[in-house]
Amino acid sequence: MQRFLQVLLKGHGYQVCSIGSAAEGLTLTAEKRPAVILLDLGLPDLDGLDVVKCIREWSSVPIIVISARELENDKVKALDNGADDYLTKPFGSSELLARIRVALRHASSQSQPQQQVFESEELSIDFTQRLVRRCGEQVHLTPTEYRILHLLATHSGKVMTYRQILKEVWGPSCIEQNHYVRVHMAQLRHKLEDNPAQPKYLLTENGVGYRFQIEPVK
Amino acid sequence: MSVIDTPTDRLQQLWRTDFYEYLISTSAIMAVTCILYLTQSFIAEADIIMAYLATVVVLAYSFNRGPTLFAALFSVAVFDFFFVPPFYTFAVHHEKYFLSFAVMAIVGFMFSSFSEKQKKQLRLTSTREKNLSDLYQLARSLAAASSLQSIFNIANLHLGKLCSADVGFFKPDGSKVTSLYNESRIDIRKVPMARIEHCIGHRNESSDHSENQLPEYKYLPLGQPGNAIAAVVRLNAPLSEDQAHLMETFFSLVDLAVTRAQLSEQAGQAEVQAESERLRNAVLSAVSHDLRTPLGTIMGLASTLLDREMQLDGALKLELLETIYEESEQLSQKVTNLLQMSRSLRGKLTPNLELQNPEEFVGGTLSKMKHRLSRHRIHTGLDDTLLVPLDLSLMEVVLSNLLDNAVRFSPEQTVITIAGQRGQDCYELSVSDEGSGFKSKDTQQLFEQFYRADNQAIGGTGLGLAISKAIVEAHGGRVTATNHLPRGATFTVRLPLADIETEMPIHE
Repeated sequence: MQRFLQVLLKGHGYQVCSIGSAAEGLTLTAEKRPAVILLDLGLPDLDGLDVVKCIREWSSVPIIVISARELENDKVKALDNGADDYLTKPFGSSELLARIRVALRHASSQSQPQQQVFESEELSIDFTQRLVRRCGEQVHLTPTEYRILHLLATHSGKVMTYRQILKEVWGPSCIEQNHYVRVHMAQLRHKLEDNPAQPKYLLTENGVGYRFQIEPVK
Repeated sequence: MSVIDTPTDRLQQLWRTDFYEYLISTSAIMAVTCILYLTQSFIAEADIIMAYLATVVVLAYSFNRGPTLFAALFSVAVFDFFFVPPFYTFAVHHEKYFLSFAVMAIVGFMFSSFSEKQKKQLRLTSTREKNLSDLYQLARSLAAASSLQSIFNIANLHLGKLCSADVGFFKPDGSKVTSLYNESRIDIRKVPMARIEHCIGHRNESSDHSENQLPEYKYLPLGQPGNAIAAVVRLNAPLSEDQAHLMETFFSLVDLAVTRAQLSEQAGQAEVQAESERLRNAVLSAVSHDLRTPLGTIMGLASTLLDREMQLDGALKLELLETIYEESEQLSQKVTNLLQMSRSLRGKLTPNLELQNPEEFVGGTLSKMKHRLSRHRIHTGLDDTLLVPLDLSLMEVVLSNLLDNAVRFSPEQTVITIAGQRGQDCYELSVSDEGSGFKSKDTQQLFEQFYRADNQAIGGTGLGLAISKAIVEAHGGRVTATNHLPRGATFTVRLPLADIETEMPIHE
């Protein structure tokens, strides 16, 4: 796995440092200040979740969690604890590269002012005027739907867990009510998607949360 | 009458019945005296005595000893007063009357004690009869009980009917006592380990832990010697000899039932073990056969690509690489299935139900299988107003298996339709393809482990549908397969809808 990642990432012009344990990883993170961390949850010495917490205490470096299928719950916990994204083994190289690009983009945009307009072939969202258009026609969203869309779009390309969405939109007292999000997401999809069962923009990550994906006009 | 029998209550009740009996005895004697007094000119003195005796006998038949004895003595007094000269005094002129008095008193006394004895006997018989029927009922309920817990429950219930006592069942577990059943909340601190061990070690004697104070504890060993359980009986009232005897019989019945349950449990375990052994072997052979097929392809293609002497053009290289990717994707699906199967074999298949929007769940699964489905056209028609309780990760396995099947058994560029709507008390999700369908003789075996349709050219472990079935059934649902016209197969999953409101609420 490490070998595959090294070959792939070096081939795409990234500098790669690979480490086999959490302890080494933490010291190296402090020393070398990497741009992105790929973290496998199955570590020999420490629980991957603790590693995420540990790094988050002093750094906001993007962390992409890699997990095997059996650790599905850990993956969500890692995201809730501050990891930026996840990949489930086995995965393809294009997926990994896309995740890394999104993570890097978010890391660099943190210091810059927020993007105010999203635009694709069919969909345009203008956050300054609170305007959402689909194929040129204005779409009416309820305040909750708008807040969810806003949250997902400002983190576009990145997965948001149910917990994160509930906390941001409904407040910390509702973080167990996953079906709130599902109901509103369903409505949002019906307003924004051509075929809600095969969405283009509001993607579902089963059991984890949602990802807003927008490909700019080419 | 109060329901609870406290000693004072019982005393009061006794006094009340006795009081009425005394009253009735007195009135009966007085009434007889009236009649005799009015008719004395027609009857002889001996008849008067007989009449009094008859009255006493009648009273003795139904009353307690005290009132009967009182009636006898009272009749002597009244006889003396009214019918023995000199009249209207208790004085007696002739000695012959003393004999009459004595006979009347003795007859009264005798009858009162006879009837008392008989009544006692009657009471005893009816108690025994009741006890016998209780035991019979116990034996019947125990025969129907299959698990240890239900046996314990039955024993506790029936013991309460028998006497004022509760029972708990305990087991020595290392150095401490584990309670197997303790509905009656026997204080575990009062159940010393040494006593339990002693009782189990000396099976032939039941040991009493008596401190001459209530509640008193009795210890009884049950079950197989190597796997013994101790019944601890808390007596809230002392036992009569009869009750003690009854309890012995009672627990020998429970002992038999416990032993039987333990034996059948062991037999069941052995059977499960044999079954899982058989399955493990089947899994192993299936794995070695079916995982090797894609692995073989991957290795072969990779070595072709590595071969320096081979001249491959770009397009061909790409094709080989794509095949490698597809084969590994299939391999991944197979491994997922195997993992899921081994989980379900370990009995860990308990779905974690959450209300899900089917549209979202289907969408999520489709996006994960994008590559695998890219050569078919996917149509979706889903009722979007429902929330269905399901375990997302498990149902994802089901849907991806059904889709995988559809892809494998239908030609490229055909349509695969995913439809979902509310059925009768359930949610129906179906996957239809335009493939060759299946032979109707396959329908029964379709969902069995390692069963594969005749078409051996198409690979597969034969696990997918079996796992899907196990998962759907763990949800309380059903999965069925039908052929449809003009061609193709439809697999339908029916999941029960929760009683709670599953229509989507419209907010704002």
